[in-house]
Amino acid sequence: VSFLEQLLLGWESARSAWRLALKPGIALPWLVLGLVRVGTVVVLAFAAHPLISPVAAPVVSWVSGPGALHYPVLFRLLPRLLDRVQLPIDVVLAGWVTGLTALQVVAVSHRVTRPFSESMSVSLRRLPVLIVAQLPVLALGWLLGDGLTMLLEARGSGPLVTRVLGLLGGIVLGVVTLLFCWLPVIVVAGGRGVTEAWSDLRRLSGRGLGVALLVGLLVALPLAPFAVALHGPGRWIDMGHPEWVAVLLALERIVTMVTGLIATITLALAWGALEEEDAWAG
Amino acid sequence: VGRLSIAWLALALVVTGCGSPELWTRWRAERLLWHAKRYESRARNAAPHSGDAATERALHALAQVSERYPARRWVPKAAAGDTLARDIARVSGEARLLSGGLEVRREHYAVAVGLFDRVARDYGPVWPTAFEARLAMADAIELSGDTLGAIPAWEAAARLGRVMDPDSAIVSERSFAAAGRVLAFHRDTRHNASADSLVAVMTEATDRELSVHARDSLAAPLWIHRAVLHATRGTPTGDSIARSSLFRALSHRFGAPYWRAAMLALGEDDLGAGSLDSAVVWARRAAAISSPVELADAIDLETRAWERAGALDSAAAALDRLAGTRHLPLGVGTLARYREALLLDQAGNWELARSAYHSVIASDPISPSAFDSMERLVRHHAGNEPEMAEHEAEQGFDLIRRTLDTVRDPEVRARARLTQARILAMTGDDQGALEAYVSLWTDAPRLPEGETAGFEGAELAAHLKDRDRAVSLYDALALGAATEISRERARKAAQGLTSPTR
Repeated sequence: VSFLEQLLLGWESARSAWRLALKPGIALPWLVLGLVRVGTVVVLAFAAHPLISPVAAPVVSWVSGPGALHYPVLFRLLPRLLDRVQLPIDVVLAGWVTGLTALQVVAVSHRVTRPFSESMSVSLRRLPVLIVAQLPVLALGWLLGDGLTMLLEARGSGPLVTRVLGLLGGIVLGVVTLLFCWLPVIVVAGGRGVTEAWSDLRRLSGRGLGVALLVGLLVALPLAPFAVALHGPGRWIDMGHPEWVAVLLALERIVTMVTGLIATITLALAWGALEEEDAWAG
Repeated sequence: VGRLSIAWLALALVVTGCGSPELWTRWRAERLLWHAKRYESRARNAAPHSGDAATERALHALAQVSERYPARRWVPKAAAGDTLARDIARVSGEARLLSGGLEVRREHYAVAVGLFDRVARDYGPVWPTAFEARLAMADAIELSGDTLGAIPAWEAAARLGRVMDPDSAIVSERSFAAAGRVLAFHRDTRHNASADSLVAVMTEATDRELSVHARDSLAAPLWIHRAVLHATRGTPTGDSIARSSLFRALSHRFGAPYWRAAMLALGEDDLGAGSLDSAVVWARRAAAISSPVELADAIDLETRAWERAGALDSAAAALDRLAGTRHLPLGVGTLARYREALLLDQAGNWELARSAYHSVIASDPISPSAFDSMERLVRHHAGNEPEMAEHEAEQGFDLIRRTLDTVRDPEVRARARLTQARILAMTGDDQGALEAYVSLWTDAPRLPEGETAGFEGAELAAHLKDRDRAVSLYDALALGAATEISRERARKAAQGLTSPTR
């Protein structure tokens, strides 16, 4: 499959994805995931409220220190705090939901009827394999995020070095994430084990690169304004609107939910098409 | 499933119902204060014509904070050890302190002092609110011109102050600074008993902290502060305790960042006791571990020690070392070179002094030292070497002309014009000098340079037997000089010129 064909396949899959995304059985888990993620923003932003504080305040204090529960310090720390708190949610719940969606989309594209409850249980059973298969990218994410920051802080590096290395780390992580983006589909819908999934990834890095790049663009473009707006949340505080940090983070989560849904459906459809072609060729 | 869900919901409500309402109250209080502080910041930065409206808005916002979170509700809880209540009380107290600050800004000193006093009393058990209220009160009283009246407030602050800040766990420099001001006042006014009582209180508090922090990095600054307290006693016992405390700071394993301060304090002590060689040794040891930013203090100590010993050349050499150091803070090198020039001039080493004066002028031509150097260069030659005086005067006039063409700072321009008038007078152009003095006084009567020009012009006019002009200048000074002392001086001088005995 040439690169242009890959792009066309990605484009067609993305177009079909919008139609499939409106099906309740596919959209509902993502809605739940979105609600949980937005709910996490709300819970952390209102961590001091008596209805939430017994659970949220110790978490905030443990992750960001007791000073984080002061106004407006919390909003300055909120993006990093959320990244850390949401990591388990992203790994477990988002892993489950993407696997579930991949199963359903593959079933729809093969015109097979698969009950929703069966998809849920299969996706849940495959979750540990998916988590283990994703470990390299998770570890790299930590290394290039918190690890790199801690290292640069310990070395007392200047702001320019920190920025340049942060940018380079972001690019490397972006490329690796693109290579690993097929994992939920391969592991859950394809039923592969960890090593099989990794070898499939190697194969797809050539045959599915165009699709992965298009999906990467689809995800990155709507999120770019948020990345710019939330780079240095202190700006919003200096402007007199600390709460806007939480609002922007919640909006970002909603946009991520939509792009994540479209990306997963696109990848599942494209993977199905590539597998079908392999079967014909075989 | 239905029953199980209800049970879970009930459990969740029971658990979440246990949340601390004070945490939320603190959050809301901090939020309200944060927004009020934005108004306060705008009021502080507002232009004078819009200042009052902005100040009123800020005062209203700050009053809302202290009214919604009153001291009578939160201070007793804070005193009972509730840390959240303490934070809320701090927020409320800070709002009132900021209100006082705005009153100081619009020069309503009596209102501000009353406000600070009430805060100090209402928030007594809340650190650092009450302490800061006393400090702010002392500042406000001083700003109102009542330096003596501020002493009780400084003393109250010093006695209220803590040796260690419990929040940041570092030595509270402001407590020692407040104590230092009070001690200096008591020593000057010979109230030794009051001073000794304060030293005893502070020493006891310092010793208490030293017993806790004997082995950590806080010990060295505590020993230094203990030494400074005892050095103010001015007794042999006090000096001895001060020296032993400084040696303890020097010998402490974590004391390195404070060695310089301890060495300088030991040097000052030796200088005061007349042990000039020891003072020089301590100054040089301090200089050896000083960065260029810190070097001036050590060289200053060495210079003063050499001056006291009568070794002006050595003092000048120390200053030469400072002036030749790279990466000094702005102005330090020029000032060092100027002091060196003065010492060389005083020692009779004119050629070296002349070169140093020129170096001062070249390095920073608009500094007060440069203008003074220009005057000294002309004055030295004016009596017996008129050609040399003329040459130095021409060089000075060139620089002054360039300064007046390029610099807009009114104080620098006034200083340049005063130097021009003085050089004209020194080189014998009395009429030109008189016109320059009068013109400067007319243009800048509120600046110190303008006032000086007025007096010097009047004296020159009297010297030139232009009695009417001298009297008219003194009369103008008696009406328009900035301070009462100057106006009185002018009145007396005018009377002296117009009295019938003349």
